[in-house]
Amino acid sequence: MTASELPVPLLIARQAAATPDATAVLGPEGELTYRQLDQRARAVARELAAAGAGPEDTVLVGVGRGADWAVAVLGIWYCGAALLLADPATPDERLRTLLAAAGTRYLVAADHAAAADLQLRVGTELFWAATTGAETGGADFVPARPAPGALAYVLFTSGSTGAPKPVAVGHPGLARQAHVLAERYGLTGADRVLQFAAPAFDVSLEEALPTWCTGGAAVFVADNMVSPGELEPFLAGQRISVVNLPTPYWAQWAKDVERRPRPLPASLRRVVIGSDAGRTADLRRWYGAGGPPVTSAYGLTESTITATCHEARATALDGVPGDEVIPLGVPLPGVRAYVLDEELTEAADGEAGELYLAGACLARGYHGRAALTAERFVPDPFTEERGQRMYRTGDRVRRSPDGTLRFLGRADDQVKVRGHRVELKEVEAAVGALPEVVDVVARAVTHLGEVQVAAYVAAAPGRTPDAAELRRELSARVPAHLVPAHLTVLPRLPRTPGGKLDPRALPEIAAG
Amino acid sequence: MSNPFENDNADYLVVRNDELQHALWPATVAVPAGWTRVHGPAPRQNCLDHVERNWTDMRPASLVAALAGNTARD
Repeated sequence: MTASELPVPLLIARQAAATPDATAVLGPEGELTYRQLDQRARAVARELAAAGAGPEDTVLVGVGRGADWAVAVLGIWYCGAALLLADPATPDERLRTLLAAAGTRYLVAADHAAAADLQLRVGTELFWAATTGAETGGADFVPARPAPGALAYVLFTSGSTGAPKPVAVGHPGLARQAHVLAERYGLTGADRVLQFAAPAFDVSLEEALPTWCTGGAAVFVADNMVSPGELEPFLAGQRISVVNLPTPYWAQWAKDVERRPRPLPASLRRVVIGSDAGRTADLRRWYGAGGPPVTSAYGLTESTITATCHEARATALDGVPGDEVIPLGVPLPGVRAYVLDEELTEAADGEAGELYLAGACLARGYHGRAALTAERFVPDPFTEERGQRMYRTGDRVRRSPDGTLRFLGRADDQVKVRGHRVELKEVEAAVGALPEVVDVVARAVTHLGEVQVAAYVAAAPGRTPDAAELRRELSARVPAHLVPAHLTVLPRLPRTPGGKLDPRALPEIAAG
Repeated sequence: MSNPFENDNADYLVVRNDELQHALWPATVAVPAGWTRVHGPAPRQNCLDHVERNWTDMRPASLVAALAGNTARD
């Protein structure tokens, strides 16, 4: 078995044996070396195993960001079980529903009081282990080796419509992901990688796991709601070398450094952006301010996080005027990407189609949701390997002759407005180009029986545009069908901790 | 753009691979290698109902076999 095929918990155990005194985790409450992380995880695993947890069981990670989170994650894997990633701050009723859907009977909490409180909130008795006190008791516990295809974690995606979907991810996909990204980002033991994403979001694993598989330090920021301007001194002080940020957050940062030029943290050598389509205008701002190279990452929870990457080089912007969507890039090793038309045949280069992903990156499916899995994870007719599946992403893309995939919009984001085919992304691009606007989202709404486009915008600091003024300005720049029928100015757009727009938190459109 | 897996007026198959994973497949398209038809042609919802009733252990078959065979520790 080569290193790239070893499951992640075994890779981390091996790293701990190789560099026991190196820093693995730096959190608001302190620091853990690899030896400490490994030993505490073994102690947690021993408790969980004693309570009966093992392969295919899910264990709620009931601790917040920092060292306890690292110990909980590794401890759950060491006992052979899988993580249930759900924000412990989720409202009680919803958390109860998530636990039931994942069939979760186990919990890792900080201590007895936290475990008791959580059980009271969800009205369910759970077997639990604590990260506090795990300093001892791990010594002779031998980590379980996950069976091929074993469950690594379950995470509920917050779809824009319908009930949340419990995505079940297996160890092989996760191992591939950690290995490939460590290589792609050139991670070594000298790297200090920011832990920015909410711990209940899979990007937090994408930050931590490649880091731990290569001996670097995962450094938690105490609060990821800080502004980019407030994050900078933290990055400089902690000598952070790699960050992975939600695209809208990075875009805000790029606009901020253009407005208020200053040196960026010298330690920062790479910025990864994802979760939303970025724009070349922000890249130009970023590189204009001397920012380090940007990698734009695209993927879904169903594709075990990042599936394609685009190296958004500064030189590639030369001679490219205007403002374009940053491409999705090319598939990472182990990922196959197909652009398919309505007949399930591959679209020619340059032609639009729906993106299907296949290969080792695929999740196992939706936990306990057979029909939903069967309609989204479908047979892959394009590979020599028998019996493989592909996942239909619902994203519309086209492939350039050089193999680069470009995002066109969600399959369901294409609307017909008075006969015109309108891409909501196109509307967003037009509105976002206005100087008064820093953030924008466009939605299709049905108003008085007619499909219309509604745009919600966040105004730039110090600007207070009104909707009529923005619409007038827009009409002077773009065709009428790209001017949204409804325009609402908000102080900021509601986003989830992962940086995605929270459509349920948008206000209803005003009549007229 | 309509998706070939979202057509309520078309017939579908339920197919299954060696891992006993079930999937929806358009009835008019040749079944890919390594998949066997287990239900249909039938309307979409009928196929999904079949999946829900019959794919009750969603663990890959190779994993089930591995877990039954040993729980060896490394």
